[in-house]
Amino acid sequence: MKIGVMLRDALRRLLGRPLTIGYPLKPERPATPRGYRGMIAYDWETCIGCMLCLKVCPSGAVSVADRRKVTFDVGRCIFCGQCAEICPVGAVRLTSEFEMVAVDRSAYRVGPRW
Amino acid sequence: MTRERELMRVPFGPIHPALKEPVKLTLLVDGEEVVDVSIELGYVHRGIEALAETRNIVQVLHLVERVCGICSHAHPLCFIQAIESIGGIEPPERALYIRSLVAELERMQSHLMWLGVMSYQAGLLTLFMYALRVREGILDVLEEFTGNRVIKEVNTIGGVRRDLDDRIIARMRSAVKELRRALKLLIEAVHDKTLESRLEGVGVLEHGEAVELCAVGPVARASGVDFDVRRDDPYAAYSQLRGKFSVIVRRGGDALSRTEVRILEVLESTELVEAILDELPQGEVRLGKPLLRLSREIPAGEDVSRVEAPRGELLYYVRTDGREFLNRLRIRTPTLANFPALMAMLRGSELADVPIILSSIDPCIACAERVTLVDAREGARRTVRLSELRRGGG
Repeated sequence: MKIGVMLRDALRRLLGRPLTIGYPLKPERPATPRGYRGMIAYDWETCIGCMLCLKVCPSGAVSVADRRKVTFDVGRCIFCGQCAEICPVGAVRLTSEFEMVAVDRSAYRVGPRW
Repeated sequence: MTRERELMRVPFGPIHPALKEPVKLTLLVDGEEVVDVSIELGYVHRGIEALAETRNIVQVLHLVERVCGICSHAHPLCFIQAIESIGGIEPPERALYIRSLVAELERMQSHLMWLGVMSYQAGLLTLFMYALRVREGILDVLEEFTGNRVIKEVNTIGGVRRDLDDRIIARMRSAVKELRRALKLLIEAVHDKTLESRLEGVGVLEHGEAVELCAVGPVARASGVDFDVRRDDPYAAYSQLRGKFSVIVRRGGDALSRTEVRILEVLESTELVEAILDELPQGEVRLGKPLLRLSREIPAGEDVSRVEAPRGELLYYVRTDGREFLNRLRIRTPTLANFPALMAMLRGSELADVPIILSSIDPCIACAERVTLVDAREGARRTVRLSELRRGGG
């Protein structure tokens, strides 16, 4: 490889804008694409209790809760989005939220709140 | 005075700076020369095949997506093809094109990643940085379209889960154009004299050996085996795209030829992506029927499906029980098929060349951790016929 080509590239990278972003030190969050599969949002009032999500979940993250509702264990979730796709009433949604670190396991339980 | 030279046994791995994943090679060396080698697998065995037998078809679809992070489209594609062939399901034309499109984007990013790792092993960190920078552009469009960088989750029974819109098509076109420009720099860097002399004549696999040991993918094509599943047993939309790409074949059989084959395949893939975007038919991307009804209607049966994954020919054997579950799933990954060829390459090589030879086959150890039919010690592989699979599959 010619030294000139390499130097030109190196100089361009040195003076140009970095390819990386300042996350998380800079306040702005990196943009997530449309259709990103992040944290689960569950609308338990819309849920009709058909249990299809329970049937298709590959990792067993869905369990039955009281009164024919379900609870999602995000700690077990592999974010395939199959539950959201199969839901006939659109009660399950995968949001663009990706900051999911928690110190308490209960933060990972998404279920009905009576 | 002469001292009798002794053969030494050098352990290489399971944990080694040159390895990204755990595999144990025991090298028998005479001075610097590798006389014999044995490969020991099993450090990252996950039991995916056994797990698949306890899940229904829809669940297994997401399980096989996770066999490999780099070829996470090839695995479900291969699985879904077998399922669709058992059930007699024909996905819409547009879905087939999208499957091919994602497969080509995946091939590009896999080959670029490999180029980076390879040059890193050869001691050229600059090219590693270049290759990974270029790869990022492809991952960005994949993320934009599928929602994720690696685990794409595009396939479903009877089609694909997402449709392309004009915005994404425009982004893909510009990313491919950008990539083609950047590839010039990479090709120039690969043909640098220093790197060339490091790779030339290293890990030679003769044409006869490649055929005899059933090498697959770029490894076989670099040894003069003119075979590509995309052309010779077309799946998805490749039968319509036949004239749009050529199969890259080199006769050298060494690490340099394998590098050339892969980097030129990236160039071919850019052509293919543009051809797919030009010819993309209109219409639905999946069948109108609900997914669970489709999976319930799949009868008991068995099928073998092949896909040209970035690393070579990937083979799935699927047997369904007619009640939404699988009786047996057998995965043969390209890395597993290339292990006998790898041993032939290592014999007679120098000890210092072992990391380069190993990475030149683009090994994916976690993928290869299956129940093995390969007799790696003797470098022989049994060709398994369907009738044998049927007998031994249960």
